[in-house]
Amino acid sequence: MNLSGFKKYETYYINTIKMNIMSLIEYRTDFTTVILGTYGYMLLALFFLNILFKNINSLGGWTYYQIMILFSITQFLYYIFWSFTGGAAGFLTNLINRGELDKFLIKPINTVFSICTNQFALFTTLPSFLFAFVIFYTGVKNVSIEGSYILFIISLIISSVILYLNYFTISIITFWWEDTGQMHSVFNNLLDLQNYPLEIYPKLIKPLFVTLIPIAIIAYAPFYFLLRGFSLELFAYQITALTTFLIIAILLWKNGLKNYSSASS
Amino acid sequence: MKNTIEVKNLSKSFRVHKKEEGLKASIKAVFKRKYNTISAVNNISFNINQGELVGFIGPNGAGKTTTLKMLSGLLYPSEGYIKILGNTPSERKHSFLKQISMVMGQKNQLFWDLPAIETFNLNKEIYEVPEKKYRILLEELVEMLDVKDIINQQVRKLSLGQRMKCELIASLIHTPKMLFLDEPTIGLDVVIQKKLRVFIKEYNRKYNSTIILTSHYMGDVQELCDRVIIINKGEIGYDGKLNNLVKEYAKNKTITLIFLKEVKKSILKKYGKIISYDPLKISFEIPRDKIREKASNMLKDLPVDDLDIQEIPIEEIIRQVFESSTPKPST
Repeated sequence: MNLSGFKKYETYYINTIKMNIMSLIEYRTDFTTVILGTYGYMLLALFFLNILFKNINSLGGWTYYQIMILFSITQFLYYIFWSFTGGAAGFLTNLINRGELDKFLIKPINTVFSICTNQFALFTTLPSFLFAFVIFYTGVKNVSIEGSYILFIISLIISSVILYLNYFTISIITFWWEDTGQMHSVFNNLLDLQNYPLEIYPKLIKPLFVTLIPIAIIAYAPFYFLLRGFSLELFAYQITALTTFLIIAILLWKNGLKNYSSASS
Repeated sequence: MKNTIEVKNLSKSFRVHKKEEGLKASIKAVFKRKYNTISAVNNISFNINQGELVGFIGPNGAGKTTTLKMLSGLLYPSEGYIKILGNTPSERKHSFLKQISMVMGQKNQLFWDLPAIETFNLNKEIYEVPEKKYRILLEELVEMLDVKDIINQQVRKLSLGQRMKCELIASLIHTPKMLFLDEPTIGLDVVIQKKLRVFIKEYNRKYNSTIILTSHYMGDVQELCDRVIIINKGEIGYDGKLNNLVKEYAKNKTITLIFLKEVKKSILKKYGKIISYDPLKISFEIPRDKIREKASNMLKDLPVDDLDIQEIPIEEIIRQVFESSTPKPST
């Protein structure tokens, strides 16, 4: 991509951010609702962890504060992709169903890029991000860190991309099935499994959760890299999941477009 | 003259889930779905030259928008061949997309919460229009459409007409060689409709852009297009000059008389086919070649206060085209 090519993507992104700020101001986004929803969810999860650890000393060999860190990582993962892409996956579902993908397809700019960046939401996720950070910080202060922060951040970003690819892939299926809402909610429920370490899964299920449905390693890999250090096996799982889901998403997208029926006038 | 658009044997069909009545059928459909193939466009062919302004006419569901969307690369054709400016639209190459534009009357591309100027600026970057060229063109378009005072207002605060004018500017920032207008005047009042028509005509003349227009308003087509393509049930019923269409299908004209005093219907029957009657006003349908003679007789024999000779409304002509064409039933 030459410099002017890059400029159009940069301008597009800046405009999206500008639009996001304008609508925040215009509609006076109700931060109270956002905060109550996300803070409520996180507080409840912590409350549950507390009760759990009143009855047990460790979970899969991990202590209360360590599991607290794992939980904060699941929140980071979610808010990283949500901040930069917002509800782009859900947005895509709407675009396909309402035939509004047209206005993106007709522009000489990468369609996936323009959709994914259309819902920039850093400003609405910031409070939740901060709260997740407080949980993370509390955990880190109470455990010994044997791994590396750099490795942790790289792994965190890779996992966030995997997670996003999963969401986006489910939305692409809208090209064939009109309603993917149920699939999204099943996936969201599965995501709760991230809150627990890999060690707790029975040997028979474990391969499934690290390969086909890599829920168990998305949060666990960065968690392990931070607390214990590098693991080639986990890193290989992450890279394989990233590559596989990227290829699946690209193939589905290309075929989906052929199946796109738009909507009448 | 070079063909900008070449379309040969183009078809598009959609596979839709067949929904049957009743709970039993619904449960059965979970395991085994039945599909129907709907033929939206069926084996159409036409060529359009650079600079032509062509009207696509047809009733709802005729296949106008589907054709337009295949031409612009939004939909993949099921069968057939399309070449536009040497490109295959469905490949959606950026070099092709930079030469076309589409305005859909019922959908907007402007950022809702930002002033329209922001969308113009963004499109300038997306289409990589040089700054100087952009400024000159923008000034010209803003002046032509008289929107200087509104381009800095939030789009959501604009009226439908103002928004459509801005939509047009946003679509023309890169001076496309090919412009697809899908119902651009829908829902607009007659004054704005008129202004947009003048603008479209002027733009076409000045930039020699090829423009394809679909519209429900015959006024749009009559004022703008020399050539019309009539589509019905996915097939072309007529492709040619609008004037020829009128000559070919409108064998009759309408004569309307207003009388000074009441006239009985029985006296009037001999002059021709009565379309509507009122003791003080009557309309006849008269063959074109008899108009002069009949009108002269009427003026001589009857207490005429006013006489008006009109072409049959274009809507009526199009209805006749639809009736005379016998498209194959969809499968």
